[in-house]
Amino acid sequence: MEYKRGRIFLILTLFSTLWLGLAIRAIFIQALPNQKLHDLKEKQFSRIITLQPRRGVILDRNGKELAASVTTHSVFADPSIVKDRNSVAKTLSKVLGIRAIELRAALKQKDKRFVWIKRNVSDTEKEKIEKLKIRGIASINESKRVYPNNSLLSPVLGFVSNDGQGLQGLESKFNDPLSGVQKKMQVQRDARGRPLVVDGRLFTERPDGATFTLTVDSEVQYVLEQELKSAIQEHDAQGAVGVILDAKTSEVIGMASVPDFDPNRPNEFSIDSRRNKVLTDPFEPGSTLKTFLIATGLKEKVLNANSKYFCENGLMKVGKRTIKEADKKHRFGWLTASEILAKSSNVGSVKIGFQLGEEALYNGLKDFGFTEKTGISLGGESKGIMPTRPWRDITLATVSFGHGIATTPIQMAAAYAVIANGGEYKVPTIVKTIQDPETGETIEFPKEKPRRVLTRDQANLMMFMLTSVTQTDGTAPNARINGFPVAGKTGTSQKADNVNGGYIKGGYISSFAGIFPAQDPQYVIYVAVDQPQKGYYGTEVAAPIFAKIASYLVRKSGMAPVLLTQKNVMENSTAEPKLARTRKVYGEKDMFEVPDFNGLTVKEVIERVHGAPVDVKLIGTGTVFEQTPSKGSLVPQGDAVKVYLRQ
Amino acid sequence: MRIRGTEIKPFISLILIFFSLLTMAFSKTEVRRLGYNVLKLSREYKNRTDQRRLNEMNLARLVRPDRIEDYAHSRLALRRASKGQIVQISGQTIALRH
Repeated sequence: MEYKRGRIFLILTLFSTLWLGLAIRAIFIQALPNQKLHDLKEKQFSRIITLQPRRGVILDRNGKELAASVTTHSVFADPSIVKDRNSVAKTLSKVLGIRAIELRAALKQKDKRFVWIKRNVSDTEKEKIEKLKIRGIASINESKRVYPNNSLLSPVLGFVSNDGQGLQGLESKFNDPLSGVQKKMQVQRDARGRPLVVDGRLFTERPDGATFTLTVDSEVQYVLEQELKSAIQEHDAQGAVGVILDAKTSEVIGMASVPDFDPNRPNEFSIDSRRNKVLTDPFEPGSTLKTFLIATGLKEKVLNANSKYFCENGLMKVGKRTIKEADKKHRFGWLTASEILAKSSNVGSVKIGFQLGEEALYNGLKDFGFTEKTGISLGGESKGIMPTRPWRDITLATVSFGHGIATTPIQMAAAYAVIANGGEYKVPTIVKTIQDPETGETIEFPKEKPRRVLTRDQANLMMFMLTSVTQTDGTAPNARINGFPVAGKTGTSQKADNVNGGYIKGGYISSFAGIFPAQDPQYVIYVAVDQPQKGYYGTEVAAPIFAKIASYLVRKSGMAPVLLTQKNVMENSTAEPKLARTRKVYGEKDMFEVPDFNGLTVKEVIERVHGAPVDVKLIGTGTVFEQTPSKGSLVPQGDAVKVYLRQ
Repeated sequence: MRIRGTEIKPFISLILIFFSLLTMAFSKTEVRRLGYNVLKLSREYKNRTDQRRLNEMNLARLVRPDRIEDYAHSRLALRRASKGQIVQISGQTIALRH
């Protein structure tokens, strides 16, 4: 008996020891930390999920979509497991519309586990593929960039590659914030590889890219593009550009470069049409630069509106070269600075240029933003071309009337905005706000601090001088809009030949820069037409485009016209002329002594001169602060008397 | 035969342990099941969001300016106003705003 008890005890001890050993081992494995086992467990049961961000949306100032990403399907193949590739290629060819020979070539790559068959297929095609249940053929979801307005604003928006990377325009400039941040998450998975969701927000909170709201109004943009395209057709031109800025803030309301392209299929268009020529292509501005010559003269206090210059009867020698007026018929004698601008005298401009000197003119142009990029948040901007200093006399002369120097349309528009907003240079902006996708917070796009270029009085005087350009005897009566005073300047310049040097024979660029309404500027518009064949002067090609766009803006923004004009009042009045008693007669022509209009209102001026045989031009609104000719001057019958008013 | 309390206690303990284990197992499987449901619903939510975005793009395509102008020309026999044809006196906006 004892022997039996001993054996039982021994067996019990043995098994207890074994079980205890197992238990201790189990405790070791389960309870105590073991990095090797932990890593094995993670590898077996964990999975890293990459949440692809959806590219951010681009909206116009009114919230309309300009660019967004949608989910689409792409078909791929695993050639290593596809059987009977000839039959598969034939079947897929019928469904997807791709040649069978191309599909066979893709499926031949047996060493590859993944080849694209077709990207961005429709829902119908995807469903047909799924129904076929071909081994080795499947589809995945991808993101596709869509531009619902086709070519609207295309040179500004740019486009993306097949992989969703921005290649041009805003898409490229802001590629990182638009792309968003890829999120990787580690989740537990089951035996079939499906993630075990701990937090449902894992999939619902998708990391999107930032939403950009632009300053552009898509309706205004459309009208701008249509008018430029019509002008190209009408004048048989190579292309056209246009910029519309908010006069007070220099926000870009519209920016067009035509011909343009459809960013939904950018490869079907030429590289030339994909370029935003408003920024990238500088050209000689011609007479539109004269505005800044005179503005610099005012700023440097070397001239005022009434300063007189003898314009050499239209011909002036500078060194071996002869400066002529644009129109050979123009043989100007004495002109005031204001008239030089109104009549666009080249010789007069050269005289002012020489009076200023190279240093002052160069610095003045630099103050207005020429020679530098504007800094607008778009890529590919050119800083223009300024001749290397020191300038020879002929260089100073040609720069004075806008030749021998190249500027971009955006530089021009930004410079005219200085005059429109009362004298401050503001960097043009095109991005209004950015919405952070994580926090939902909307951030105003940072703006640079404006810098003062002209005093308010100088800017106002420039505005009044520019309104004379659109008067009957100015160079741009075609830019007028009934009921709204317009300030502006035409430009006609020869186009440079970038290949052979010199200028293209018969090649001109017609331009017009305008500000309206002159009494309270709302918009600055610059348009330029490249090599029009039917007419080429700025007044006949570019000025009417401005007028049409401005008319649309007037209707869209509900501007009420300025009803009181010289024409309205002068035509119907029948009172006796009050100026008669100052009339003096010399020889065959009646002469009239110009009275002092200083401080008078429009009504008082009209009453004073009504019936007198002189042509009085009222420029601006408010009370008189300047007049041409000055008080006491004798003017012959029919001559013009200009009266400048301000509030 | 009367069962004594002391005899039934182990049996009750075993039952309690057994049902506790069952409850733990059930909870775990329920968590798994709910997890699969959440996965399914989140995929559906994602599909709906994608569909909504697609619809928004389709709407944007339908109301793009050139399409509206074509419609106005061809169906409503309207023409774009020429320069100076419309004059606002009151200063009120008459154009449609979105």
